[in-house]
Amino acid sequence: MEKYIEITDEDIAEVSMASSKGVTDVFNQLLKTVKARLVYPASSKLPQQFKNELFGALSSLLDQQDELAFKVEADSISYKDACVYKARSKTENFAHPFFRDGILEFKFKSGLTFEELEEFIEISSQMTRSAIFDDDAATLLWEAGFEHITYELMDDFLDIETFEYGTDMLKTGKSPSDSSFKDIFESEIDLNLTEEDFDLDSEKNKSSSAPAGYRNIEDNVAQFIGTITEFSDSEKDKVATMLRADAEFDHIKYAIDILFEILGTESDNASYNETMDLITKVGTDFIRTGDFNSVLTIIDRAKELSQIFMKLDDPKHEKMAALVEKFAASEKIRILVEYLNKARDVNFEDVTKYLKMLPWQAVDPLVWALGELDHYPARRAVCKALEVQAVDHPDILGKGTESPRWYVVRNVISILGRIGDKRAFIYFKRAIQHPDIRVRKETVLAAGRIVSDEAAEFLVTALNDKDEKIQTLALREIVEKKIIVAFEPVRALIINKEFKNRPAEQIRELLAGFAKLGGGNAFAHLSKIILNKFQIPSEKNERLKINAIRALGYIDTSESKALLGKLASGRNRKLGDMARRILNKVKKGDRLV
Amino acid sequence: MFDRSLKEIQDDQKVQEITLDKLGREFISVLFATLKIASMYEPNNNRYIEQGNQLRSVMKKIFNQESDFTLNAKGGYIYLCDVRLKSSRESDDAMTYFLENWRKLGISGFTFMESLDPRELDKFIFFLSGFEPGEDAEENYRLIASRLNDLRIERVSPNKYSVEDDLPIDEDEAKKIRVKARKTFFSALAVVQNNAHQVKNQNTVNIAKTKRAVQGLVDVILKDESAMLELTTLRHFDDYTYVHSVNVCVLSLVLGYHLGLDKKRMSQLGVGALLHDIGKMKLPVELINKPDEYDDNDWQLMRKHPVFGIKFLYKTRAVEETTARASTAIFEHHISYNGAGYPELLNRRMPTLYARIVSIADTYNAMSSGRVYHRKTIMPDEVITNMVNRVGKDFDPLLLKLFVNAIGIYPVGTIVTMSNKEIGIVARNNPSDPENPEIKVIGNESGMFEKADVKIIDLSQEEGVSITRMIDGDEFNIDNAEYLDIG
Repeated sequence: MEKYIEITDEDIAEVSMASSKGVTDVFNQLLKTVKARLVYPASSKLPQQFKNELFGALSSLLDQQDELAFKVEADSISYKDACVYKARSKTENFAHPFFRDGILEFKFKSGLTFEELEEFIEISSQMTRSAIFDDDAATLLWEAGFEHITYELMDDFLDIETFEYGTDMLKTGKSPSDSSFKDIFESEIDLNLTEEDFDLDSEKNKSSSAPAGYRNIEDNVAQFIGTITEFSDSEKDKVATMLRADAEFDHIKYAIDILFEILGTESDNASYNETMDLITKVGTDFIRTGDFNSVLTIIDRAKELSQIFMKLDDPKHEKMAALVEKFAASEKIRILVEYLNKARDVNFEDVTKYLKMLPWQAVDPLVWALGELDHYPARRAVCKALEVQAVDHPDILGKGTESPRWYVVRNVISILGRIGDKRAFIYFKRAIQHPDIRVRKETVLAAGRIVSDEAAEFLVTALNDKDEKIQTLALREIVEKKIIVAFEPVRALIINKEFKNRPAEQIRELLAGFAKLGGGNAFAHLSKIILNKFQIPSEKNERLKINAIRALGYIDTSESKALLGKLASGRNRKLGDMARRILNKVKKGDRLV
Repeated sequence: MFDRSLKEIQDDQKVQEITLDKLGREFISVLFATLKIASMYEPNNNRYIEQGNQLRSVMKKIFNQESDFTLNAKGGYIYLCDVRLKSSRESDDAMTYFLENWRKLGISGFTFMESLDPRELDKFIFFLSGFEPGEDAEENYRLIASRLNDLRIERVSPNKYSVEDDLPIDEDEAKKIRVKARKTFFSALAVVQNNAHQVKNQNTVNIAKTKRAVQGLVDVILKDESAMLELTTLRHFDDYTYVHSVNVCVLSLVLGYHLGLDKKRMSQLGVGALLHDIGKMKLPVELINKPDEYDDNDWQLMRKHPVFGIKFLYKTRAVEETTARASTAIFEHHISYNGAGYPELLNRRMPTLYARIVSIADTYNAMSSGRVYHRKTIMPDEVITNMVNRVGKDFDPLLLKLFVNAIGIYPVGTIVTMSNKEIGIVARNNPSDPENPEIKVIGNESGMFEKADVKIIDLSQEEGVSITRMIDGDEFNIDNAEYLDIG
């Protein structure tokens, strides 16, 4: 397969001066537009803007000179003998796809429409990409049927040396003699022709509905021939319907149907296996070209057949299952990754749908793919698929936590959390030790998604993580999931001497979480903090008390409210202000009590 | 940077063609109606006054676009200035009327000048509606020109009919196309040969070149299908198997063209047709060349070629739109319209459109190549009769009707005798009068003409001459290939 051909800014800048500056400018604009189309999807604004500018410039030039002809060489393009494009290297060569396909020249003519130019840009960008299939530049230009863009093709492109027929070879060398010409007319007599046959006005000829050259034909044939020049409205409608139906017909799906039909009629094992291999090959080609709907059709069909064969106790069900598994193999996923990294305008919904249909054997290669895919939407599609495929195989998915790429580990952990299998904790325990904080954070979130004793235990352990951010995150999960067993470990954190030295935000969250988890049980310790008379009053101690008062708001007991009331009317202004605010909130129902 | 806005440029380009086409169709409809009304009423009758106003109103709109304009019939179409008017229900009757009548009048149309005043226009309408043409078209033109002069109608002038107006292409161009047709035909043949060689030896097939070959065939067919059809009647080839594929391709494309397929779909159809027998390359050579009649085992194997073909194609190429469409022709070209035939289908169904087309072309060519395949010549009337008798069962009735309409009841290349005791080769079908095609007259009962004396006649224009029978060229040593360059 050829490499992607890229056109760089330098290519455009280094174009040598053409005799007409305007033409060079227009050609540069053309390259710029093709380049933009290579980089951005069709719907993007930039290629559109470039196309508009190019069309304006080109139309202005064509108003002045009727046509612009560009000669194509292997690595350059010229206008009136002046080079307007010179390729910088073999892989960065705009001229090459045209030259390779035998196009010697292309011309833009006056009257060029925007739609024509737009399609020309599409074709150019398509050709500048790798040519996987058989649509060469000449074919694409031909199919486009441009009126105002013409091209000159190398005349001998189709000449093949082995071909030896010439016009003379067609002649038999035989020629009729004059006597044989006489025979022609004499043989008519043998056919019982009479003068009447040659008289168009004769009754015999008038009454005959068959053409004169047709002899002895049946009425139905005569009638058929008699009407071939007339097409009724209903026939015209039928033609229109036929064409419409053909245009709408899904020929690719039909080709798949035919393949399975052939499979169904194979009578020997070797042919059966050969067709199975062919189906796999066709499916692989679909992946290579990004036709995920079609490969999905193959998988659906194979799964359906597998079920049918299983019901019939036919051993072919295993072959069908094996066919589906082939699409889960590393080799196929590798092709998928290649496509997704290279293609533009990918329909990721189709990709996701396809990946979700793969069997669990795809889990391992898809985890590998997570590390290889360049674009976020592609990785997201794989993650969504893994959520489905790895449901019964978290152990295979979990191996992904050994990946040296932090983002693979994070994605795997996230998927494990979404799947919700308890076996995930083996991997969470490893991941929580990961050097990258993003992985550890994801691990806490993932654990929070699995409602179980293991999750509680894991999150409680995370409360003691060396990283306070992880502790806070774990606490949030614990509170959100109402993991009551975490009350004591949280208390242990709070009563720790160093607690007051934590950042203010953490103290606030821990005390609030402590209150939410413990309810009435948390009151004693919170009141102790609030009422504690520190020997050396400090800002930290005060902050501790204020946050404890704030936490009281989450305890819906009379003694909590009573203490808030007492503090509200107390002498300490700061504590009193906070207590009043909390009481107000409680009254308004703003507080989660 | 740019002097004109994008919109202005786009508008300039499109408006002219679209407007002229629309106005042109409106104009010929109103002109047609005005001429009819003028033939029934007096100029001061309200019906005519109303109609005349409509005509002036349309003409005013055209004059807003063009200072002077011509309305001409050429090659079976009506043109306003240089814009070919599209066919539409509303204007079809008018188009047919002008195409048929102007030729009798010896004119291709009229030129109208902007300064034309209403009185002059009315005079012109009443003159034209009442004009009774004589037998001689040229004399009619002279009369019209002189009468318009007498009536002082100076701002409408008749354009003289020329034979070229009825030719789709000029003669030089026709010759060039013939040469191009031959080259393209042989290129396609070379591609088929090369493909066969590749299938056997390298297990691959060159689809890019196949497509190019088909594109060449389509280009010629769009310009002059007869130039290509006559090549399908040649039989003197060393290995006819390959020629059969090219012939089937040409015949399929001609049918596809008459059906109304666009270029891209014609190309896809052509690829399927050119490759329709590719599976045969996978059959044992001994079977293909077997001189004896096939026995049951031979047939069993032979019937596998559509499956071999599709398997081969999918093994070597990816399935995308073109290969998928082509593959239906490969797989189903021996399946009948009613779903019978081979390979046996799990679900009996009507084959796809391309397969139905290729099936007709394949059967027609196999039968008309009688001597090659059956060691016996089957004349076109026998072929067509045979196929018509199988319509609805083996062939799609509407497609077969279109096919016979396209190739003619006396297909191009058919050798015929005529009622004036002349012998000729059918050069061009006449779809509106299939019994009277164009003929290359190559001799008479006294003998063969010198090549320089071979003339082409249009039987539809010849009084009292008609085809009397079709003859087998092989029987009388008449070789079509000798006359390829004539015409």
